Amino acid sequence: MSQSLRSTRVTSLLKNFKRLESSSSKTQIKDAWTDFNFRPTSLKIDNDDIKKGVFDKINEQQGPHSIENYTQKLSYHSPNEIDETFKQAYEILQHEANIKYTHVKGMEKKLSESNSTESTISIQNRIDQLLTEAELYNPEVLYNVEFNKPESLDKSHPVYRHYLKQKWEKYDLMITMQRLEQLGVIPDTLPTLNPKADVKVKFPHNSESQFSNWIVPGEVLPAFAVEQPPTVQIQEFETVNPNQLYTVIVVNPDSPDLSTNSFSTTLHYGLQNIPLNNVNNIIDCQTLLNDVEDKFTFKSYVPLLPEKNAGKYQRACLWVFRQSEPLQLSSSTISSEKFDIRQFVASNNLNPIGAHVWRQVFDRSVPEIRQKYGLPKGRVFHRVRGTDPIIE
Amino acid sequence: MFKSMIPNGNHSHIITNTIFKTFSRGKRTATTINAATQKIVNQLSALSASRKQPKLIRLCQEDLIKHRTIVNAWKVFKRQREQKRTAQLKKQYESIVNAMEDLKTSSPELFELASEKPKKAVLFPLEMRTPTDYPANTPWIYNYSPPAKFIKAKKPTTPESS
Amino acid sequence: MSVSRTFTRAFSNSSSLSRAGYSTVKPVHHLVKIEKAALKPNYQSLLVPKDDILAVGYKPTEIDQDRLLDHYHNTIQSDLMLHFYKHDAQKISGNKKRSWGEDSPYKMYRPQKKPVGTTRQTRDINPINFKNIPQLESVVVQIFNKHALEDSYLNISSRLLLSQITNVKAKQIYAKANILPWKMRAGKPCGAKVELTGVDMSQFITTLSELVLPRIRTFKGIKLSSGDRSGNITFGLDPEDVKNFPEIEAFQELFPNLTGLHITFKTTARTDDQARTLLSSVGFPFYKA
Repeated sequence: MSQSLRSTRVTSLLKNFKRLESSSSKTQIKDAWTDFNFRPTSLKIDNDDIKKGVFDKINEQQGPHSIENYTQKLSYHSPNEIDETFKQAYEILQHEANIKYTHVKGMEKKLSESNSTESTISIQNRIDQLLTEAELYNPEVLYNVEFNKPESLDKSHPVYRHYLKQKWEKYDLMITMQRLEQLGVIPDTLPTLNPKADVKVKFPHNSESQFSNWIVPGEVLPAFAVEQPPTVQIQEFETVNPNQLYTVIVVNPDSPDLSTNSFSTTLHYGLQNIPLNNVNNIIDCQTLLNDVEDKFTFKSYVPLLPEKNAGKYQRACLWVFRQSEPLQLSSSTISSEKFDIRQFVASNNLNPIGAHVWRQVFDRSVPEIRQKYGLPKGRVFHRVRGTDPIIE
Repeated sequence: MFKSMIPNGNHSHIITNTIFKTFSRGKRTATTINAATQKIVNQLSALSASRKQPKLIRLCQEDLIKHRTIVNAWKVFKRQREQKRTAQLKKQYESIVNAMEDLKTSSPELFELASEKPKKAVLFPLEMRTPTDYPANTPWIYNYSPPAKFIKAKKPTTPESS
Repeated sequence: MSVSRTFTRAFSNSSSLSRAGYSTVKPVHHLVKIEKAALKPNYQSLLVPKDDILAVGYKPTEIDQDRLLDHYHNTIQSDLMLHFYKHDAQKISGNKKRSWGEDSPYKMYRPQKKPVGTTRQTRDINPINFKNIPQLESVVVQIFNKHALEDSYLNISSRLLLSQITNVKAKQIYAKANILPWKMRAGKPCGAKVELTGVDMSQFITTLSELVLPRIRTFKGIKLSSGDRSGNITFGLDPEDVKNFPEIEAFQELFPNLTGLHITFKTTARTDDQARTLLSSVGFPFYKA
């Protein structure tokens, strides 16, 4: 009885929606989620069998397409009335999306009329927000987010970036910030970090999967594993300005400084003016191969090659910055020894958006790689008893 | 309509392909516990949480998406209902305020009478009932006595105060 | 350690225990909240929210129409708003803690003075508008079982009784003080309680007002003097009355030593009179003792 009551209430609500729709102007968008004329096809479920299973009743004789095991496939039964209820739910949610898309149309008109950059940015942000809200509950989007690999999602659409950001904040962001804090990357290099982008690092020249995969922040890597420059992925979640340029540097704050009996910072890698966007967000060997005139590289890569007994670990801190204007840095003006990262960031007006860290110690592969890079033989540090008498 | 998002009594749609076997180690001796202890054991097992935990429902990918969509729509539906209710109450409240404001200027005596509040709590009449879908023809049987089988089973109880 | 807290001037209550005068917590340099539990691989399945169907502890909640709540929204709520409306009403401030004054720097961080005449603060009473119409928040049902003080196992039947009549697993309650004449020792289990909200609360109230109370021949109603002056009403049921619960009625031999119940209605009303009006709408009579 309660069910019948509820269903009558829902039908009346649906009728209300329809009345509203018919009464409003002709610009009202109908059935937004099935119309791919103004929406990208990445919002679709690619597999037709799965899509059929979601939108139609699952055939009891064939079983759901997503289950691979034959016996499980046949023994599967859907919950009662799930399809009928899904149809009503879809109609309610799609109606909400239609309203949002109508707003988007209006905002796009405003966008074409706006002339100041400030208003353009604010309208663009509002459009992104509306697009996210319109597609947030789309079952096809839900399916893609839940069961497809994150790499295969279309990062140009704000709804996928919204879900990716949620996922990032739940795990990867926390791991990164925890390691940056625990290993003292902040405040030893820069005072703090307000993370805006997911920064991932890997060394694809390795053949062992242990070293060729994306590395977890804080991992201790042998020297041979970091021999070649890293591949860096910078996933921004906000819509990126098409003229946006990025700077990436790797510094080691643990270089021994004998004159002060302390440590100093060394610059190991510096890239500038790298154009990235939401979709093309990887800096890899291809980027470096195209960089013939040293347009991007202002400090070519030298891996961290710790000398024997030079402290417990050396930290390779990778920082990613958004630039406010194009830079003209060159290796002749920047000394890599005793590098002052805070002064570098302040003078070039850089905005840190992400960081990564890995650690290194002296190991057997260090002398060989030192030779390859034409570096002198590494020093070996010993404990030296001081000249001051030991006072009881 | 949203009944289908609720697992029904028979868990026919759950994939059960695990076969449970119980192995006993060594010889089992029948334990005898007295009736009073058995009663307490029964009471404890009735309280145990595992009895009340429904089985995990394993939905296939398609059905999981359908379920999530239904839950999302139900949230939207509830939010809209709440907004509608609040808007209606707000409208009513504003008209009360307007009416009283009107009365204050047009007739101060009537305003005095209208804004007089009783000192004691005013209660709803006892006859007012929460509506049911099917009200009984005779609301209450005053000379009710339980069926004979229950009367026989009943022991003479000693009332104890708490 | 017996350090008189009133005479130790300090920044926090715990610092009066002569702790070290510096913090041993490392400073934090970032602004992201890190939940350590979320980073543990073994914890992942337990971190799924309870209302997600994939969660281990998933329990469907919206399984039936809430008749009492619907009645409240359809009929009672607007009536109450009209009834409690008072034109040009002002907020009545509660009895609050008082400042020591600002004329001396020593008074700056001193804990505030107690409220006038009492130890506890009381709440403000705001005029009723469309946002704060009195509503039932929860119902607390509690049993005190004095027999369990001697034999702890006797408390099991109290917990079972409460769980049976309310559909919610009851919490055990323990004696707080040592009172010899009552054979009370601190830490001994001596009863059970549940706090009901939502559908369980509506179901319990319906059972109580439609089945249990009408069958108590001597029942006159809830005392008009009952209430804690801030909108919460309590009344009790005798062991004899508890038998009228349909869940108990047929299984009386399972509960040989029945105890009474204390039932507290927590409401969002800020005065007892408002709470009484609200309770009378769900069928509870009141009488003047």
